[in-house]
Amino acid sequence: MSSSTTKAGAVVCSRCKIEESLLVTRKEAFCSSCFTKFISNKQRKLMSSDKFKVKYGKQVNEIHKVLLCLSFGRSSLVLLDIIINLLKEQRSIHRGRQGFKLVVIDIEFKILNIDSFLSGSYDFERIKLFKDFNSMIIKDGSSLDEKFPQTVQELLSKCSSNSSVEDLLDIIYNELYFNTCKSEDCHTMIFGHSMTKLAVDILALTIKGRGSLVNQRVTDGIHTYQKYQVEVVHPLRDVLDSEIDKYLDLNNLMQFCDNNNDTNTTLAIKKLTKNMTIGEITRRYFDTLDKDYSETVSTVVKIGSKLIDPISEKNDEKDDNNGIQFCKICNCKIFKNPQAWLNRITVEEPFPITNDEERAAYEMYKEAALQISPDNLEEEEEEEEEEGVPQKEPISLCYGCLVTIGGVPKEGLDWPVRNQETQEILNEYILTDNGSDDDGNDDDNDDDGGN
Amino acid sequence: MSRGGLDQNFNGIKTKQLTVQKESSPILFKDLINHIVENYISNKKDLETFIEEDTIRPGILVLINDTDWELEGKEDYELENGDLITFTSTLHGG
Amino acid sequence: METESKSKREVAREVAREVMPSKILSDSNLKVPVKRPLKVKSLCEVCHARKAVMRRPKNFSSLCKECFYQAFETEIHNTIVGNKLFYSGESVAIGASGGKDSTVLAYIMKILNERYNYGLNLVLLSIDEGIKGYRDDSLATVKRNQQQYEMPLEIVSYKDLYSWSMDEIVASSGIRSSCTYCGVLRRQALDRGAAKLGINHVVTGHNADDVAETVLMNLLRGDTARLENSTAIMTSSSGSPIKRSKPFKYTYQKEIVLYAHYKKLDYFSTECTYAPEAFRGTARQLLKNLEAVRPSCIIDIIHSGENFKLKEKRKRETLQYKKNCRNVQQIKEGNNKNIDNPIEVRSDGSVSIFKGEKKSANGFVDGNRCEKCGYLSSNKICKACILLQGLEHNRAKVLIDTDTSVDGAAVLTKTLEKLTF
Repeated sequence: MSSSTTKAGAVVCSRCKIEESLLVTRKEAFCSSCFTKFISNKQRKLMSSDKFKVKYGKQVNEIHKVLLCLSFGRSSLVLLDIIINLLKEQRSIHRGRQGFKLVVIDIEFKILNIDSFLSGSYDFERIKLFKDFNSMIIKDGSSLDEKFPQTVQELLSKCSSNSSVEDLLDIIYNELYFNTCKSEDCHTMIFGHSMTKLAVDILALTIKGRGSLVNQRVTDGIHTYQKYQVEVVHPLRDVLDSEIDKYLDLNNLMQFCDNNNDTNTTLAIKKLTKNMTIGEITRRYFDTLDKDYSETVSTVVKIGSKLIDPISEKNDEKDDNNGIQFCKICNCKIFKNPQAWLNRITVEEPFPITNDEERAAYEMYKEAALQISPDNLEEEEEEEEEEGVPQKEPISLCYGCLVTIGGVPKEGLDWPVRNQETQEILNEYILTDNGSDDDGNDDDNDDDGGN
Repeated sequence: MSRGGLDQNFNGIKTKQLTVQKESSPILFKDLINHIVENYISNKKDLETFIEEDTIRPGILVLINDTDWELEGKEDYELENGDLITFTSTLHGG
Repeated sequence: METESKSKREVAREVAREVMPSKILSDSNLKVPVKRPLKVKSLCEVCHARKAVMRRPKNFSSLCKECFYQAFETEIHNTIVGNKLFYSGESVAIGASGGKDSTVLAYIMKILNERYNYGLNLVLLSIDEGIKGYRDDSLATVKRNQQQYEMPLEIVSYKDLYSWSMDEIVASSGIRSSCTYCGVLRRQALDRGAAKLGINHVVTGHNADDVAETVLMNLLRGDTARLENSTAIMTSSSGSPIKRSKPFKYTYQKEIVLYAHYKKLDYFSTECTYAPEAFRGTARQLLKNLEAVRPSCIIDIIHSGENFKLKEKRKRETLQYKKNCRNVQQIKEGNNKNIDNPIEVRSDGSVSIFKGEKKSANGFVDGNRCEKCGYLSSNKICKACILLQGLEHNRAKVLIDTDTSVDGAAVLTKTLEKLTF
């Protein structure tokens, strides 16, 4: 890591030792091209499998398709640039041939239709959370007539909590990415997530009660989605946000960034905490932390990558195969019954009425409640279900979705719920072991060559 | 009334009778906050432990006549004669 | 006692009386505001018969005082019973610092013990770390608690146990590493105090906020050893038969404060004068910000934490060694570097001397005693003695500078008192 100086006194790149160094990172001085190569090599290391290489001989006609999820945020742009350069290089070396075909997806949620992220058949339902944490589908006459939201924007606009919107969007995007893989026939999906973004995700998922998803979202490995296998890779997982920014600078790519969509921007200056989402607060935390504790990001990603699925609670419900339940909103595995857990730690029994004043107040309440709607009475008021009274059907949700539903208005969340047939297909949703060793590096993946 | 160590911020004052005046009625809770900040907090550090981002710092419990201020409208609560306001800090070890 | 406000007509005013800080305000001192007719929407959501006075962060229910007391107490009872924390006839020491958590804990343990016939013998156990100006006041509170709750009280001091007070430790090794020292020493002090009384079980006032903070800290520090146990309700040090449990594991700090306020419980409230370890302080701030946006996040984090499972370690020795070195580095910061053998400070506070051999997780022998102080330990020398050994070298320097360093600590104390609660 020695750096020498030119006659003029400028520091020289520690790699090529020729060019003037323009930046320092990880205690090394880099010139522009060596830095670009440094970052690109990180991607190559994580995508070193043969399936990305140009093929000859028997395999010459095999086309491997890769989906790149582009948000026009900083890191995904960097990833796009790196992949394009890689493909260009392949073409120039291999006489016009590429090792794989690149498909790019960019989601603009504001114009997304409600059925764009769905596959299989769905029923549009209203889901409501009740006092004892039971989540129910409300089936009543009026909701059929009522216009179900047509766009995602409409659906989300009813949420009272920004964090709930963020969470639901996350679910929608995830669904959409996998659907697209399947419909475009891609067997690899790559994200531009930087190390910082992964650390933020690990923490944010924990904070939302979705600790069991960390393993899925943060590690590289093979996912099975509706019987379709996709390898998910985060080629920039070893790159810091600051390095992403420098790459963009040096390669003149800043002009293409969409800052609105950018999860990298430091929002601390712009917003009040009370208006921020869980993700934004967590992001801000890492931004302010990194100055003194710069190792925290890599530490968090390391430990997050070591998490595996929790132990399942024994399930008495005969609902699904093997007793495994899936959340009807986000389709993740439910390992422990969230309602039971919450009910164990939340006990609200009424303290008895002791005097006339209290009795009078209670009577007043009862009158008012009956006037509004029979449905509004608490569970303790057992009402016979009559004609015109809304029917309720229990729906199983994971803990994270249960919490998110807490951030929607009283009437409930309108959401497309998979019906039985689609659910059966999804019950084959298994996460195979990615077989990585302690360093978090993938072993060589078996070449799938299509399903 | 300040509890939970907050009295340190107000030069050791634990309880105080206050009169808040304003041209127009009604007088809102936020006017009380301004009144306190102007008259009883002397330095920046004390201010930071009481106010954050234009509102009472999270971690400080605010009670109006023993009721959580969130149930009474927070800063928009209209003060009345004889109201007892309690600020309690929750941010310390136990 | 009448207040003066009635005779004056002002636009608005708060009622107050100059009250001695240590006196508990009784109902007669407070003016009861004129009762307005209750509206339905301001009624308690559980009993529908009384005015709601607070809103629960867990689920946003608005509750009246009576329903709140009931919910609060019943939930803790359920936690105790559900996790089988106690058995009938057990003697339990309540770690009492005089702060809000431990005062409420003592109160709750007393009433639940009586109400549900746990059959427990309860004792207050207090640790005097020797921090001038802070600990004296809180100990005075504990002594009052002893009267108020009619429980025996045992006080154990660092000075007696280790011949070092915290003031001396800080003067010798600086504030930053002192929190780590204090934590290790306090845990051992609690154990030893309990052992002295013949008690095997200590309960502490760690609340849901503390547990959530621990989960986050373990993630941020990449502590693979502790992560899976971050939310454990009962722990014990290896080599020691003393159990430690947290009946407040699912209880929000905010509700503890509210409960103490409504019930007019007597507690002392100041942050430890030596500022909290900077890193943990940032995690605490993060948690507060998150709670402001989504109050349920505290139990959400606990839920995540309870379900964390790590991959099996393959290269165990390497990880152990790395951990040893890191732990040693943390503790030795700013200190002399005379300690040769790397030591491993485990999550529960126990320590093992790594002799280069592979150590199994529970590789200790019961009944071992520290050669220096005689305390039960899995090693030749208990961790407290090891840590303090390092300090002995700086002892001479401290004696010479006694006045300035003590003053320095005291001045710092005063400044910090104003900053934190």
